[in-house]
Amino acid sequence: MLAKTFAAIVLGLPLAMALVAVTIFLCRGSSEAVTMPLLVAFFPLWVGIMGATYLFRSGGRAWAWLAVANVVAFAALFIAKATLPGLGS
Amino acid sequence: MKASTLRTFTTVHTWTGLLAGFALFIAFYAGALTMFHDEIDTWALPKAGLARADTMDRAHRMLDDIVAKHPGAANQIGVTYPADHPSRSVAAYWMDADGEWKTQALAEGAPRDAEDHEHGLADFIYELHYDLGIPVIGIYLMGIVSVIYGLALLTGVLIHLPNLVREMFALRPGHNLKRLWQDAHNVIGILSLPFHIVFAVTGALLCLTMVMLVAFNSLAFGGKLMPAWERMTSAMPETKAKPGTAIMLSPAELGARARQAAIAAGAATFEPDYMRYVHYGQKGAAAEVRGTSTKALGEFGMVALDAADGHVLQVQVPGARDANHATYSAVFGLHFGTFGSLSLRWLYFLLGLAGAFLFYSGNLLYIESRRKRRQADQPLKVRAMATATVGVCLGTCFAISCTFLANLLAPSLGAGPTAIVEPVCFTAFAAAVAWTFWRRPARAAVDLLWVTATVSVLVGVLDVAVNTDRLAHTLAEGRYAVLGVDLVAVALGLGFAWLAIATRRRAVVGDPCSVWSSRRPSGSPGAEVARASDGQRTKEAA
Repeated sequence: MLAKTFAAIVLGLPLAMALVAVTIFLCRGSSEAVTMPLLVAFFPLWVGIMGATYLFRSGGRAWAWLAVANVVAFAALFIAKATLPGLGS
Repeated sequence: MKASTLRTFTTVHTWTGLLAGFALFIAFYAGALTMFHDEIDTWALPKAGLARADTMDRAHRMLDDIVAKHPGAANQIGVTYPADHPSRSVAAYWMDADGEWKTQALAEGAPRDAEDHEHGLADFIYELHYDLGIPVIGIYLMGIVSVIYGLALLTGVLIHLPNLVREMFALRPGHNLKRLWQDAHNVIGILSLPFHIVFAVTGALLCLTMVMLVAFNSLAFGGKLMPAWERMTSAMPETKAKPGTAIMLSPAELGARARQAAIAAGAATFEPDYMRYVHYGQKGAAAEVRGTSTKALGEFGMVALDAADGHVLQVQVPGARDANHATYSAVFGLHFGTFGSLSLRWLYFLLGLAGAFLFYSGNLLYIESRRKRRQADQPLKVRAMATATVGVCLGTCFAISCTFLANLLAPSLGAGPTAIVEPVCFTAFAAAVAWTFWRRPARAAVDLLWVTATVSVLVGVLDVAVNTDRLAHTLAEGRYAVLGVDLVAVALGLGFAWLAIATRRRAVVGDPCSVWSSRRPSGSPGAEVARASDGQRTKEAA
């Protein structure tokens, strides 16, 4: 229970941030136009991820899956930053 | 849903409620009152009507004067409009050379620190709402509380989901009191769910925007978010000062032009509320007028103009703005309940009080679920929870009522109302908590409710008795703010008295095997309870 909680806080937070940021980058050509609504979605998304973390069978699984999700999301963000125009467009 | 999942979510709901419930009770009670911030301000600090025909001309002269004396202010200087609020003072705001915000009101001769503003009753209650009166870190603390609150809402809905439809309007009074409390908690939670979702989201945003921005800016956007934020939230284009001086149009003139442009762009109305100049007095200077519009979810809109010739540079008002400005404005509109008329403010007030009840009843359910049904002595965690609930929640109601009374009585005791609100509130709160420890929750709850009821009724009655002239004066002008505050104080007082009577009945005749029973003498537990339960058994036998 406690292990899941820490996973939800420590790994859920960067995951929610990366997902919001990647979505903003993916709106190619109108990234800046959708930034505010997507930033508003950040807290509900984080809370949703935290709630979902409790559905894992064990704390270890929660840490493992969230770590994998973070690696994937940040890799996507890294590629998006390099290839897409982002803010100011 | 699997039974184990349901159990997990119930545990999460319990713990998030424990962590955030007390802070949320204070935030909701103070926030409900803050829906009538301007009325309370008028009630607390009687001011002569500030708005005069030449107010904004005098404000313009003051800006000229400030910029001449403090050249740093030319960079950016703002001024408030009197709008329709009689309590609203017209003041200038700017950042001085050291990077500190300064302010100077129209009535003042010299600038002062913008942070140490006058701490009136209404402002103090508003601060309690968003930082619990804790300086500096309080607002971040409340941001974290908002996130925990979001998680509590999510898990609460999930737990209740299987019974949602069946028990939607179930309120089962009768033998099982815990069932009644549970029903009340659920029905209020579900019926006001949209309102709570709004507060969990906007509350977290309003408290943590800066933290969130810094994190996103460095982690995800490589420093590009901060400049974009400026474009997403204001109408002011990037401007550069050019060499040479220019004569600035007055705030009144720019306000009138902004209104014209806003209405032409599709806003229903536009009441200028605040405006700022950049590069005041220089060529290339620009101004941005912020104003409120009716018939929009986000009432705030902005119009940027050239400060010298007044031509419109950019319009971001309801009906003519992009998704960023509309969303940003809606966050404020939804949180402050400014998208409707007076009836919406009353609705927010009632939902705010209902929210406070939601957190209070959550704590009661925690106690009731862990109650030992066959013994008078309750486990430590149950006693601690009862003490904390009575001390903090009822203590807050008591302290806020005392603060109103102190504000009312201060002038006749020779003290300034603004100087005493904070110490009175914190002292009354500490006294209430100490009293709860001393008297045990069952008796302390009755005491605190009675004294809160008395103080609240006194606030209304004494104000009518002491300030009769002012009341008559405002009523003659058709303003009902003062009367409204008096009447609500009396009504809340009667409500507290009703709660006091009910709580006393519970303490005296209710089940003695509970923290809410006062039948147990503090010296020797056991003896009287045994007699009481004997009596009950005899009755049942008969």
